[in-house]
Amino acid sequence: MAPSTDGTDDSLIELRGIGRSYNMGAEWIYALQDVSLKIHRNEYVAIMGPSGSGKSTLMNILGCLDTPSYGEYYFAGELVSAMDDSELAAIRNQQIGFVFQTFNLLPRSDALHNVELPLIYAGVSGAERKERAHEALAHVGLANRVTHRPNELSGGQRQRVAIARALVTRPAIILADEPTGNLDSRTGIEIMRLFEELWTQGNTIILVTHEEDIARHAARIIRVRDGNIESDEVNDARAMSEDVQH
Amino acid sequence: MQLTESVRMAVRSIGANKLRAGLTLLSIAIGVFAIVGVAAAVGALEAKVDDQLSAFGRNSFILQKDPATHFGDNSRYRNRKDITLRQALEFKRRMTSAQSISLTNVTMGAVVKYAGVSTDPNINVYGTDEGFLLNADFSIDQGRGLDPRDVQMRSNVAVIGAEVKTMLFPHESAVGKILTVNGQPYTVIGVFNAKGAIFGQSQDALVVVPITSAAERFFDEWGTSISINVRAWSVEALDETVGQAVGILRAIRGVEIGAENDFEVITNESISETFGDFTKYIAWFGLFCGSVALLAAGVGIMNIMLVSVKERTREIGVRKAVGATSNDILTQFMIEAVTLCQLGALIGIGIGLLGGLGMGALIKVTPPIPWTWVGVSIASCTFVGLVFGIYPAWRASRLDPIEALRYE
Amino acid sequence: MDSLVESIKMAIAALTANKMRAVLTTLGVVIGITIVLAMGWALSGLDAALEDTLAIFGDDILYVDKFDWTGRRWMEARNRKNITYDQFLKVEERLQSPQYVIPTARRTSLDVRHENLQLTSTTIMGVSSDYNAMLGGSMAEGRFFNDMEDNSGAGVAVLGNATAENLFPSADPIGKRIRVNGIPFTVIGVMPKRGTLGADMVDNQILMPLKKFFSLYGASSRIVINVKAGGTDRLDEVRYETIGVMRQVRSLAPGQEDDFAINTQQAFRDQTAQLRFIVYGVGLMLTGLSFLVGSIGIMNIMFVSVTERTKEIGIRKALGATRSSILLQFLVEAVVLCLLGSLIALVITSIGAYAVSSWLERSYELDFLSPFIPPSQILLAILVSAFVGVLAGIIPAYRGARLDPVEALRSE
Repeated sequence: MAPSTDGTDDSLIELRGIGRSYNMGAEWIYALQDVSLKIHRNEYVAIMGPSGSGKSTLMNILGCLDTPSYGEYYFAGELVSAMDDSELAAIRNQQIGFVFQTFNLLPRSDALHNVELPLIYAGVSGAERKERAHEALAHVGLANRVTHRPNELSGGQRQRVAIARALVTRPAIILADEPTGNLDSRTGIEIMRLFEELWTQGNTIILVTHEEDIARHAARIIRVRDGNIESDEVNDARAMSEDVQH
Repeated sequence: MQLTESVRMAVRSIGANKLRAGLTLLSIAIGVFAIVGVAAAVGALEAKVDDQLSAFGRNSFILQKDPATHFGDNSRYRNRKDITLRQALEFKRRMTSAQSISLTNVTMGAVVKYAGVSTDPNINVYGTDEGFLLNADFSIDQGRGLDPRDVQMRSNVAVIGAEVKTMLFPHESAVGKILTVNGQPYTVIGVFNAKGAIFGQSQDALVVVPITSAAERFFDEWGTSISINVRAWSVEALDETVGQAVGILRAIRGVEIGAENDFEVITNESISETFGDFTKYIAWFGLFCGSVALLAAGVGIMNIMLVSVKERTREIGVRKAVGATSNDILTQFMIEAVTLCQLGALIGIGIGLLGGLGMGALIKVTPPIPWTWVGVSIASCTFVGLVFGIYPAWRASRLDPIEALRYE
Repeated sequence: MDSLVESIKMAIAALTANKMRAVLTTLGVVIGITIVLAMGWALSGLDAALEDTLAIFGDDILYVDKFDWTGRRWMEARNRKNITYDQFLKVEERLQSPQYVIPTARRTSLDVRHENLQLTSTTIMGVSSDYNAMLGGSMAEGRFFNDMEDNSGAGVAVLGNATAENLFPSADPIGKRIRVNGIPFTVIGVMPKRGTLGADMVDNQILMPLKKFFSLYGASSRIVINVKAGGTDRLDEVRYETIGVMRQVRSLAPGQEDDFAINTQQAFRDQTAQLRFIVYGVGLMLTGLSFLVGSIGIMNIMFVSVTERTKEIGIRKALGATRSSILLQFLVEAVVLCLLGSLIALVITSIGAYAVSSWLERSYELDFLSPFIPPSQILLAILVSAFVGVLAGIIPAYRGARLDPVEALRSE
């Protein structure tokens, strides 16, 4: 269970010299500069940094929502940074499961439809879709809330639906952006516990946060500041869920 | 992504804001209503004309000097020579391939009197022959109709219509009595069954006498033209019979080869065709107005879809994040636009057909469903949805997912 | 008044804030109003053409004929006796009130030939020598025939304007010889152009002395008596007298119906009145549908506008705005959109009207379509669009005005 961090060629994610800059009017913003890292299967990584550090940009690039200005991004051995819009969409669909701070569920659809959405885009047929969506919702403990709409669910429940949606395509990585940001502390702990479970079940989890407490749940912490990686260390002082319960 | 899913998603989105969708649907429906409603109303009118004409008999036609309607320039026809009684009798002799031939001449506005009672001067006196019954679709109620001997002998006998009977002989039998037609005495030999009104005119205010008697008593020295009513054996034989008749009459009247007929051939078809030519313009006008309305509706659709796209920016970001391609988004919004248009089209067609039924009820006929125009409407609406939906859909597909997710 | 100005300013600000939306919304209205205006313009053009055609008949002339020219009881009329020249003489003698009483006879579909040019389907009118005087007296060229030529049945002819042009495209027709169905005539004059596009028969004819007409086609030819009253105010009086005299001359017993008809310009106008009504009604209604669609577009967008600015409404209310000022604000927005649309539509239609009527006049010599939109229609368009703007905006504006300020402030 202990992850290895030495760079071998079976890495799931490899960034080499990634940089991202864009211009806002007259100015150029250098959000990321020359970032390199590797992430392996079944790692639990937290990317930490204050706001403006570039962690969100890094997350967007990892999640194939954004393309780097320079450098190379290898996902499962393939060069992502050279892919086109539809190929990126396919990766987002099959390999990556997003979890957002503001949940980002479709407000007019019930939990089941929200969860099956990625499967629709994947072209999975109706019956199989429903089955897998049910499964995913059961997995996060919401089997009895399948027909509820987001406005009929609590914050914690909504985030679980979002997590179920992220899981439903059995992705290579789960990418969570401040997942507890809009939740109270108790619900936040529940959600972090759920992530822990998912990790023990073999998923690869990448967490992006600015909160130390949340970052402490991960097994490896990458700190980002001013567009660069400041440190990349194994987290010895892991906040175990049992500890926090006291 | 499959089509059914897209349509389902489209219906879901449309249902999300019913007021907005309703108003948009209404605009489309109005445009379609113009197209289909006018077409249906026109169809009802044409059906009515056909209906009335069928009373004339589908396998009969008439040869006469003047055309059936006299719109426009009459000068062409005023110089034609009459079809004289002699020509008509000769025609009857030569034309052997018809089921029945009847010669008719009408004097309108005659006064019929009996025992001190006078009709209004609105009785039509038909100088005709034994073929009248069959060709004009009358039947005898009492007594008998004309026979060839009456014509041959120039007998002063008359068969009267139901209205004349009611007016002059309300309580007694008419047969055998002597009445006067415009002062001339005639013996009643029969009474027709009532037929009712056609195009608003009563068909029962008539008196039928032998054409030879009428020629003597009612024709001017100036002469009057005869109408020759020919009944073919069947509808299939109609064209051939017409051809023969025209040939015979041309020969009798000495019309040169290559010259135009100097008489008219009137069939049911020619009458409804003339009418149809005219109503076609009305239908096209309806199409034009409907199309302009659809154009305005399309502009409205583009407007509302742009609003919709803006409102759903965050949603589009989420969809892209879970793997929708730009094409998926484009398709989704295009299908929304087209579905909206189709729904509007259905409503408009429904209302249009109702309008046609209403017109039909008004003039007492069952209107046909104008299928071509229904098809045209559906096609136009699809086209409108595609053309006016493409820009907002394209805008939606081009959204950057990161920006979209950030959108408030 | 201040709040109205304020509302207008806010409306314009709101429109410029989202130009694409304003453009599309206005476009819908522009389309609708343009087509309605175009329809109105075309209809008034048709009206003008109708009037032009009717003008040929002259507004104070009675045409006494055995036929009713509106087509009534035509089959019956066919059987009547002609009005003869003898009858005309008696009528002329006895009538006191009219200015002119003139006999005319007509024959159609004749061939006219000059050298190697031939016209078929020409109409010949036999008339008396004062015929042209009745029409006003002017000639395009040459002169009309006189009494002497009339009485002697001379072989002289006056050509209608179009006939002259067709038969003598480059030469002067005066003094030339023509043949009518083989009979020779000398041209002594050309009539001025009297017809319009729809009614040009009056220019495609040849006038000859009535006596000559009789010598060719028989003295019992059907006569139409033209009676000029000399003023529309005298029409009724002249008509009354004419009917009386005609009945006398035709030996009608009292109680017997007239066996002739008095045809006037007004009779035609009356006959077309019902048709005109239907055409106007249907035409404007169908085009009005597009305008309706444009207004629905405005209503739809106004609902959007209110929803989007819910928070703003909350703030305004919190700052003391009344329901009516909110209502006014959104109403004004809707009305401004409509008025803007109608102004643009007016410009487009005016340009179009000018262009189309100029083109028609140049290419086809059709001049009944006016190049301008009549001011009454312009005013009507503006008023109606303002009214429709109010209708379209009232429900959304009402909704906005009734928002609860607390709820409104809470919404994002």
